[in-house]
Amino acid sequence: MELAECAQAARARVPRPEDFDYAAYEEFFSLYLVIFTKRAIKWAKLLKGGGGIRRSVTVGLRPRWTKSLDTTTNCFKGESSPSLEEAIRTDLNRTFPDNVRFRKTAEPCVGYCQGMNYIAGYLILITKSEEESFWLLDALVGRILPNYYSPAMLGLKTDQEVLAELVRMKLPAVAALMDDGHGVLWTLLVSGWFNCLFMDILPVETVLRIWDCLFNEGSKIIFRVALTLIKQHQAFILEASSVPDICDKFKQITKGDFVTECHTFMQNCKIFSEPGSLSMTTITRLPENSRAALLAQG
Amino acid sequence: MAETYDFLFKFLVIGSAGTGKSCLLHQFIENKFKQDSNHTIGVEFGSRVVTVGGKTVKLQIWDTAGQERFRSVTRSYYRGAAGALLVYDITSRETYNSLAAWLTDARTLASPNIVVILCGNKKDLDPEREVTFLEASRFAQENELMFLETSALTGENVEEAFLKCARTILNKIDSGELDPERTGSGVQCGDASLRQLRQPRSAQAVAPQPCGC
Repeated sequence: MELAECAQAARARVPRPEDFDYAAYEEFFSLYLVIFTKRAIKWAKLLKGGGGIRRSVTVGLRPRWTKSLDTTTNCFKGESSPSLEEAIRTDLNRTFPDNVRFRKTAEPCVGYCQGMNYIAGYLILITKSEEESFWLLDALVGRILPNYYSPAMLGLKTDQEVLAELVRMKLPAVAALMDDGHGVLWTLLVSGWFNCLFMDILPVETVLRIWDCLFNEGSKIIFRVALTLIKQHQAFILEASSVPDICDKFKQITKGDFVTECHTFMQNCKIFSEPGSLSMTTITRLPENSRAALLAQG
Repeated sequence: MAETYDFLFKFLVIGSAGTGKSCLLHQFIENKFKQDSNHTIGVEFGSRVVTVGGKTVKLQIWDTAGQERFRSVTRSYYRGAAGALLVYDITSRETYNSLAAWLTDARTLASPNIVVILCGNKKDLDPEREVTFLEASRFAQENELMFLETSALTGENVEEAFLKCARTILNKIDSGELDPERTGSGVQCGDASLRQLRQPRSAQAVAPQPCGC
């Protein structure tokens, strides 16, 4: 009962567009709530036992993402600067502008990079606690995604290069399309994916399932999701003949049933086996090469 | 359906965060104000076909993120732009003060000859104005920019800004100052113009060449 309420409440906050398909929505949730409840019970058991396995965390339990955090991480040195405040203020009214809860909400103030507002914003919606949100954000910025939001954004740029490299290894036809005279294209296509961790890009429920993995097993999940999306729509992407075309296709592949059916997306081995093996050695070795290349570029 | 056009121009929309770049683009393309606008992550773009001086021109417009730290990302997209809207917010001196840096970026990374129009956006918020028209037009003159005050909210001067920029580029092509066939010119020829451009050339090729002997 409490779970269903939480889920409903979280969803009820987004005003529906005129063409919203209520029938499809009801159908999806009548099926998904069953899975959802089963997961809740599993997670409750796991968290009690202190286990660190993934699968899905339910909305009711998501506030306990914090359990996976180190107890005290480094605190932010309280430098406040007018320009930083100005930057945050600029985006305050542009964070989930269509979400009623956000019309007047502030976000926790840390070194600010656009994109963090989405993350922080959603953390607050989910955990309903500014403090927990703060520490979750701290874990993301400091530990899970180092240098993603730093001024040079080297971590994010490196990971984009890593993704490019992974696509070269696993989906060479797509890589050939990108490399064909469009050297800088990857940032254009995927910076939103990495920067917002799929928030506002994939459907909310799918994003939450991805974040479950992100907080519990780390950043590797981002590559898996990206590769799965690209691989699933490979033929579609390869139809593109121009840069705008490619961009448009990369927008389209984040929509539709394939990503809305989050449980299938995550569970039916798509995320975990579709892109082929993705070993941690590959993931850790690649950034070193990519970072060297990025630093060489200046 | 394939679009036909004489030329395709690559345009940039640059300027500090929150000046209304995406809203200007939205107003130009959709003819309405984007009420609930998110900030731009990285680069977005849109396109529209317009008729300028009897020519059909497709504008491919790249809308960039304004936050300082995204500059290193968005810079990669400057290359080969023919025109740019350099946007500041008339109610924010800070956005005006950073214009010089944006302009330097555009001229170094896109092309020294890039056609830039300065847009003082949010003209509708006149009571909150921090930058006068006179001051900005002086800046524009000193830096050889065209200048308009625009409002993405009301749509005032939005169309004009894009068209003015396109017209200037066309004039440069006509006068021979800009060679559309040079790579990195930011201009691509559509089918129609290719025929026009190539005809005189093939005619020249047929003409007997002076012989060196």
